[in-house]
Parts: sequence; structure tokens; C-alpha cells
Amino acid sequence: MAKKTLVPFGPQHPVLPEPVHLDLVLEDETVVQAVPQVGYVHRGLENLVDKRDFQQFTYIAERICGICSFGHSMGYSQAVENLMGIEVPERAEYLRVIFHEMSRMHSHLLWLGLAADAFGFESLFMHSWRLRERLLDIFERTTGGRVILNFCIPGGVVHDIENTELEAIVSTLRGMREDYDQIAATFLDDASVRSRLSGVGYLSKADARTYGCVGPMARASGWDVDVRNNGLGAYSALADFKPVTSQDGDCYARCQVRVEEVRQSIDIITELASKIPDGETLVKIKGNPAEGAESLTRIEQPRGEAIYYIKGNGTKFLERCRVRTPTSTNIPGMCATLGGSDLADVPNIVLTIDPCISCSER
Amino acid sequence: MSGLFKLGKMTLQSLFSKPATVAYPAEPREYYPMTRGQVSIDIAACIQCGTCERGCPTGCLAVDKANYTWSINRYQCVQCQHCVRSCPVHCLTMRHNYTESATEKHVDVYGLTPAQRAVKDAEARARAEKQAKAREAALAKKRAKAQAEKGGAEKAAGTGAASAAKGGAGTTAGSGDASGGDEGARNA
Ligand code: SF4
Ligand code: SF4
Repeated sequence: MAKKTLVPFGPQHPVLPEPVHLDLVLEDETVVQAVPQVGYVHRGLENLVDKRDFQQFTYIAERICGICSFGHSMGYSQAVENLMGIEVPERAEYLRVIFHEMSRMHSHLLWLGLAADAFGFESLFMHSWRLRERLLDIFERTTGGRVILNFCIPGGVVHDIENTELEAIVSTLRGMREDYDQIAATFLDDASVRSRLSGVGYLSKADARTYGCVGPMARASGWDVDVRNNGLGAYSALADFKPVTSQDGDCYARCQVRVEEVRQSIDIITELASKIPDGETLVKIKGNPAEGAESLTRIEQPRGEAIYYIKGNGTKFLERCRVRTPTSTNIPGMCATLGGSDLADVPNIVLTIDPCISCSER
Repeated sequence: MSGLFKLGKMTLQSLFSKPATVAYPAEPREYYPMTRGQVSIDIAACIQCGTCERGCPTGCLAVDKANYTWSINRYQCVQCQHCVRSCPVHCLTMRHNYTESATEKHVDVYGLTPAQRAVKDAEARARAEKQAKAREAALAKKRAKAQAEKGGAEKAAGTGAASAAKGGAGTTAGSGDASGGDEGARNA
């Protein structure tokens, strides 16, 4: 038996946009065990429910993460609406889903860029981020913020987006598609990309279930879990929705799922923008959450299922707010995948779960 | 290989087209009208209700009723626009340019110029007087009605009138003896 070596990975590492630490136990060049350590960016946001009322907390929830920020405000708002029995106007539901899908696109394009950077394909990285910039421009033009949108609040969305603006968004996305197809072809067909990702970091469907993986990580192992499939909100208006899956379970499959999901998001936005009903976009919330009332909502964030649990106590402050984010759920699966892999493949495997450490530590 | 070929074409195109980035600061950044840069106030229209201060999630706003000022710590503000949406008289707006960089942290205080202040005070006095008069008139009406109904109700109505007069005087004095307003310089 070879001698065991312990190699620290992170918290600062070129492939990691955020700090997480892994202790890698190696036998020669092969990882036999990976022990994660989180807690570098813990901010105690959940505890702020004691000091900020449930409406103000929307802005805090949105700031849990800088990439899936819109999703967090949407999930939290839905939890508040469930708690207080508020019916959101239909137009607001549509707008929420449209913006949520655009943030999925921007998150995936960001990830694709990071992945390209990690395997040393600089021009692919630049092109992905150049495309992502168009989405950020749409966000800034329509909501005023590039990343933190402050668009979704309990009761609906803060202002309406004109139908003409929606058409402009759809045409921008259509224009993006041509460029995107070229980038996607490189990700999926290029030999150098394949050689870095194919067969690396295999996770079987059974293991994905055992470790409770979510999002593209689970879908790349052939398990079609997707909260959007439940048809909540405006997702119910879609003529047809099928989660993107792959059977291979390796890094390439995870990349493939994300590449296809960007296209799927464009289709969802195009369909919903053509079906969106007219009407109000915001209802005013009166009163406070009732004492002991609880609510739990799930949404599909770009990285997978996120859960929001809140409990009221009769005052304007909540008793408890708990968020379970996809990255914290995917870390056990990632560590299992790391076992048996080459040290040189560790950065790629860590990156293909699309780790969002700010989300998981809050 | 076809992927790489396509990307090569795209990269080549990028070589001959306009840069995707802005050469800031040589080339100024263009903002959208919607861009959330910084909160600005039309202090003359502010009614000092304090709604913005109570709703602000970061606690960066302060409304000083006595001195008629509104102040903001721009380094704490997260541009959530909550104050802008909740202001009942719409005197807050979100400007699209960001806060200028500074070498020291400070709080921006907005107040009225002495002339604006005099106008506000006169308005407040007039409002208070009008309110007091209206209250007295309502009481007199009530008293007359009560007298007509019952002979013995005079005493109770008298007490009510006295307390109402006191309340009215208090309001007038409160807005009258507030002084200051010298912080108006920043806003101008
Ligand atoms: S924009 Fe938000 S953080 Fe800034 S002053 Fe207004 S309420 Fe406070
Ligand atoms: S909410 Fe508007 S009117 Fe009220 S204090 Fe704030 S700025 Fe003034």
C-alpha cells in the first residue's frame, strides 16, 4: 500500500471563486478521501430576522448570493405569500419566472466561463462572459441593478415590465442564440474540452440519490429532479417542460446539462413572454404573519433545489427563517465523486457542482 | 473539431469589431435611466413623516423633525429603493449615477434654506391654526347640539373645549419654536 499524503485544497484556489477548504487524502496521485470544511464566509444572515421585519428581510434574502440573487428573493417572497395567504397577480408570476430564467442563464454562462477558465480555454471563457454581459444589461435596463435586482418582493414584483420591453428582451435573447450555439458547440464537441471532462468525476444515479444531489448535478446522473417540473407559478403555463438530463454522470455530462439548460431557458422565456396576461403586478401586504404560522417553499435555483422555511410569531418580525441551498446539498455528492479521482482532476470536479459557497454558508 | 473552428471564427470576428468592454474612465460609462445609483431628495416637498427611515433595511436614513433635515449615510445605503417606493409624497427619487468616491466617510444632510424654512414654518403655523379653529368649531357645534338635547350637559362640553384649546396651542408652539435649518447648504 502506498503512503498516504494529505494535500490541502483551498480555501484560496484559482478555480474557486469563493472560499471552501478540502483536505485531500492521497495515495500516490489518487484521491482516497476528501474532507470538506466550510465556514469562511458565514455572515449569520438568517439570524437577522430578529432585527429586520419580514418585508425588509426580502432585501437580505436577495443578498444571500450574488449570482442566484433573484431566485432567493423569489423563494423568500413565495414563502411569505404562502404564510400570509396572499394571491400574487398572474402577470407578476409570469414576470418572476421570466426573470428567474434569465438569472439561470446568466448563472450558467458564468459557470461555463469559469469552467473554460479552469481547463485553460481562455477565449471560450471570454466569449461566455461577453454573452452574459448582454443579460446583465437587460437586468440593468429593466430593473436598475445588474446583479441585485430588487425586483421581486412579497406580493408581486415592484413594477411592471411593458410588453414592448418583453419583446425587446426576447429579440435580444434570439440574437444571443446564434453566438451561444457556437460557444455551446465548442463546449460539447471540442476535443480538448472532452479530454478534460469526459469520464472524469463519475457519479452514478444511485449515488446521486443516496447523497441527495440536486440540480444539474443530479440530472447529469440521469435523475430528473427539477422543481420546475411541479408546475408551480407560471411554470404551469408551459406547454411542455422536461428536465434536461444526461445518463453519463461525469463532468462532461454536468457541463452538457447546463449548456442545454441555457437553451431551454430561452425557450421558456420566449413562450411565457408570448402568453403573459395583462393586469396588476403587485398586491399590498397588510398585517403581520400569524403566530405559529409556518410555510415552506421550494424553487429550482440554477444550482438545484432551494428550500425556504419561515415561521411567524404574530409580530412584524419572523420567528425563524431557514434557507437550504443547493450547494450545501451537493457537497456530500461531490466528496464521494472525488474519491478515486486523480489529483489533477480535482479542480474540474469541484467546479462542475457549480459551488456557491456564499449560498451554503449564508 | 468543428466547435473549435466555429469559436476561431467568432474570435476572429471579435478582433475586427468594436471592443465589448468600455475603456473606463477614458470613455464614460453610460447609465440606463433605470440604473439605481443614489437616492436624492426634494427636501422642500418632504413632510418629515419618517416612513422612509422606518422602512430602510440598513438604517442609513435619519429624519430630524425638529430641525427639518433628512440625512443619509450613502456608504450604508444598498440602493434597494424601498424608501423611494414608500415615500407618500414621492419626494425621493433614485438618480442613475453612483455616489462619487470620497476620501472620508460622511453623512449627507439635507435641510431647508432659511427662506424655505420660514415658508415651511408659516405653513405649519397656518395649518395648526386652521386645525385648532376647525376643532373649536366642531366642539361648539357639538356643544350647541348637546345643549339643545339636554340642559345639564354644559359642564362636560366646557371641559372638552378647554382640553382641545390646549392641544391646539401646543401644536402651534411646537412648530414655532423649532430653530436651525443651517444645514441647507449641501442641498443647494
Ligand atoms: S435605497 Fe434602501 S438602503 Fe438606501 S436609503 Fe433607501 S431604503 Fe435605505
Ligand atoms: S417618506 Fe418622504 S416625506 Fe416622509 S420623511 Fe421620508 S422623504 Fe420625507
